[in-house]
Amino acid sequence: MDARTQKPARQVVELEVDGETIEATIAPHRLLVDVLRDACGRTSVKEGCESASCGACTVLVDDVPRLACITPAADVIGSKIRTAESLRSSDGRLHALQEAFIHHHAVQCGFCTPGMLMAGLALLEENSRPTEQEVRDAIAGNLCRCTGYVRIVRAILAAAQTLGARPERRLPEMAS
Amino acid sequence: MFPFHYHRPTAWPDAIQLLSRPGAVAKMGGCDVLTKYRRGQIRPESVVALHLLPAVGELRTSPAGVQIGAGVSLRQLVAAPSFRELWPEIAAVAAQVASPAIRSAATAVGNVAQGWEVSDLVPVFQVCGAELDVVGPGGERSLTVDDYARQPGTGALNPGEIIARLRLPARQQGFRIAYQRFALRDGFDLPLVSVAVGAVVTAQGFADVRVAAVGGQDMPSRCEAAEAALAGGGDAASLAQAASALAAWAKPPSDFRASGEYRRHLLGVLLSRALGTLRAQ
Ligand SMILES: Cc1cc2nc3c(=O)[nH]c(=O)nc-3n(C[C@H](O)[C@H](O)[C@H](O)COP(=O)(O)OP(=O)(O)OC[C@H]3O[C@@H](n4cnc5c(N)ncnc54)[C@H](O)[C@@H]3O)c2cc1C
Ligand code: FES
Ligand code: FES
Repeated sequence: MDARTQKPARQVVELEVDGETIEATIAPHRLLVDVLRDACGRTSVKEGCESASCGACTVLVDDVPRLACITPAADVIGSKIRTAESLRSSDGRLHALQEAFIHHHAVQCGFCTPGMLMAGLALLEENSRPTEQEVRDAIAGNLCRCTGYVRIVRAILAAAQTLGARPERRLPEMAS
Repeated sequence: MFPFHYHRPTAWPDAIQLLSRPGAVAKMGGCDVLTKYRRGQIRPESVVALHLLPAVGELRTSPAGVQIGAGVSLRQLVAAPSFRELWPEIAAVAAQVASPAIRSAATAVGNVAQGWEVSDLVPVFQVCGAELDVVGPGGERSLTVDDYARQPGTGALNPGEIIARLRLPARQQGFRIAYQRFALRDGFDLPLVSVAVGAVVTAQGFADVRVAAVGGQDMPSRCEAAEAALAGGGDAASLAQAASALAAWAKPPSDFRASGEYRRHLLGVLLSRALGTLRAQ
């Protein structure tokens, strides 16, 4: 079998995206960013630099931030993928992070926003009371050409406070 | 985008055979290889993912030594309490690499394997005496990270060869590491220059001193002249001598980010700082 003369065969795969199982037919070299946008309709996932340098394509794979522009879609079969589309609840309410971004004017053109939200979400799920430096470290790989970052950092800190004040988030802390 | 065959072998002999074919490249986290692909710098015939191979995800820590499997990400390394306890300095350096999303894909072995001229981890591994275990068509062999890093890219590997793990030797009593880097930005920036020092620190001074630098030569390298200057134990005069020896050894390039002269100066400053923190620890 000569690899050079054979065209890679397409395959049908199932991906779990934002809690939904989506079937897609993909060539083996397809990257997650394209599959999420084109086959799964997740256009919140942006592609800025196309090469691991801007963070616009950040999604969560099994709760961990990953860059969809350099992740083969085949590698995340069987994993739980989350995009910014998962943030809004089914009744249309925005997530506390999204509300904080609006309230603190952390969005201008909006291109970096989905990636920022997912980087922020990954942080808050691991560390419910981050310091400002921890927020800055969490979004270090996410470039924003508009806001100057200050408002984004403020929004993530504010969301941490809001989420921390909610009873369902306080219970485990009080029990421990 | 150019199509490639994507193989995800689950057995070592299959992976070795797939990688022996012309036009095949190995992929672990993909931070280097897929970035190059996306920039059109490489056009692989096939990409062979290594992350499903047996035991590549294992991180074994014991006082007799540490084995970092080729699939262990920087995120996993930094999060492992047993590793942080044995090698806190390496964990601290790894925790500062790039961003959370990069660290969750990037492997420690891949950082060495990619053979970039700039790395935060390679100089630290060089001063620890880290070794790589390699498997391939010709059997198994080991080489030091220092030897691996003598050529750019994956030049030290023969076709079909795969690095199975990185090994850190048992930590000598009193052995300490200090790492100093200089980058144009605090976050998400590769260093312009950096210096790692490893030494056994006693009340009398330093012993078994190792100095490695990034940005001084084409590849991260040990600097024998600086090590020799410190061989006598590291009194105040020898510290200054070591800093000048490192600056004299360095042949850094000049570009839009900094002149070669400035980089040479920085290397001396970083070595002095690193030696200062070793003392203070
Ligand atoms: C945006 C960005 C910022 C970065 N910033 C920093 C930084 O600040 N400091 C720093 O030190 N590093 C930095 N890096 C480098 C990063 O740490 C490495 O690219 C990463 O660790 C490589 O590991 P990987 O598993 O992703 O390798 P891959 O991309 O999968 O592989 C890298 C290369 O090594 C080969 N290879 C990988 N594993 C093996 C193996 N087991 N056997 C044989 N060959 C193998 C591959 O064929 C390929 O050529 C940065 C990288 C990016 C993309
Ligand atoms: S598009 Fe993925 S990091 Fe820029
Ligand atoms: S809001 Fe425009 S890039 Fe961030």
